[in-house]
Amino acid sequence: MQAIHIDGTDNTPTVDLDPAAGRLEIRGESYPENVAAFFEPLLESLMEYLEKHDKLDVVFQMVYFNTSSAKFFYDLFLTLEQASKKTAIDVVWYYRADDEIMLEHGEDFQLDFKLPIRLETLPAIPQA
Amino acid sequence: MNLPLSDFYRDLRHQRIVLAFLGVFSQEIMVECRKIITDRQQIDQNVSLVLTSVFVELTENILRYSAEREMRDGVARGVGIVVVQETQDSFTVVSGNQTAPQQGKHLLENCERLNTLDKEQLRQLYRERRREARAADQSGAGLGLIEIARRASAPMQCQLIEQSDEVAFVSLEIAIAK
Repeated sequence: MQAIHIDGTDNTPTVDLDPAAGRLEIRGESYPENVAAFFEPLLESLMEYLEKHDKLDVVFQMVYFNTSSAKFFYDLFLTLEQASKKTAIDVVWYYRADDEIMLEHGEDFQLDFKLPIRLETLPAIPQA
Repeated sequence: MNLPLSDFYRDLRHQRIVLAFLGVFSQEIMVECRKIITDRQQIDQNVSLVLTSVFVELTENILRYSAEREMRDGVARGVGIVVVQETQDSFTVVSGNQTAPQQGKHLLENCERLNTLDKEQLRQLYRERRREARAADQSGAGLGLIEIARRASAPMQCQLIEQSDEVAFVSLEIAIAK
């Protein structure tokens, strides 16, 4: 399958699904008006990838996402969890060291899914 | 025009309003408003993210649930008002829109119920609702209001003013500590 690259915008994340590297990255902001139109094709590509490969490293590095996107992230994790019986899945959830909200999101996904989800800090942004 | 614009301007300034929008909400307007309120100098990054979250969920409520709708790009979009006030130690975000009285009452009751929960209970409720939401419709499952309650630094203030049997005005006032 082809690699997928979607450039981020003010309200949609940068997405990279690289089959050769076995890697999915989602970074940036997510509050698209039509959240299904953005995430459903991505979920389909992910399922296609998971059917044909035995390994996937997933990287989340979000700054902000709204509740509609949070539901799609849940679906994404569910898809990963279901595939994890036959595909080796590894997830890294990055959060800025002083961003408690993003840390809590990561912890909640850890609690909700039987997946290896590692929480990794990014340096805090120095205040002006 | 009968509107005393200079008084209006002075009142808003006096109230330390940093943003006021009345009209049809769209994605572009949300993005621009987000920049206006969060690109302000000397705003703490975490406060900026809390403000973003409350602002986005409130405007999405208007987009979805306002009873007053206008066509834009072939989609009927909600009309409403959002005002952001900044004081020494907090921001206050207020949103308002017309609603069917029954739906407004539902929001009011929902707010009162969420106001009785502490942050940890709200976090658990958010997880439960998100788990259940996927099978349900796309319209939110109340997650947006739970998210707002989690970010608010004081109980949410919800007001419902019935204007007729068919129309009421509902407003939500959310405080965010700096």
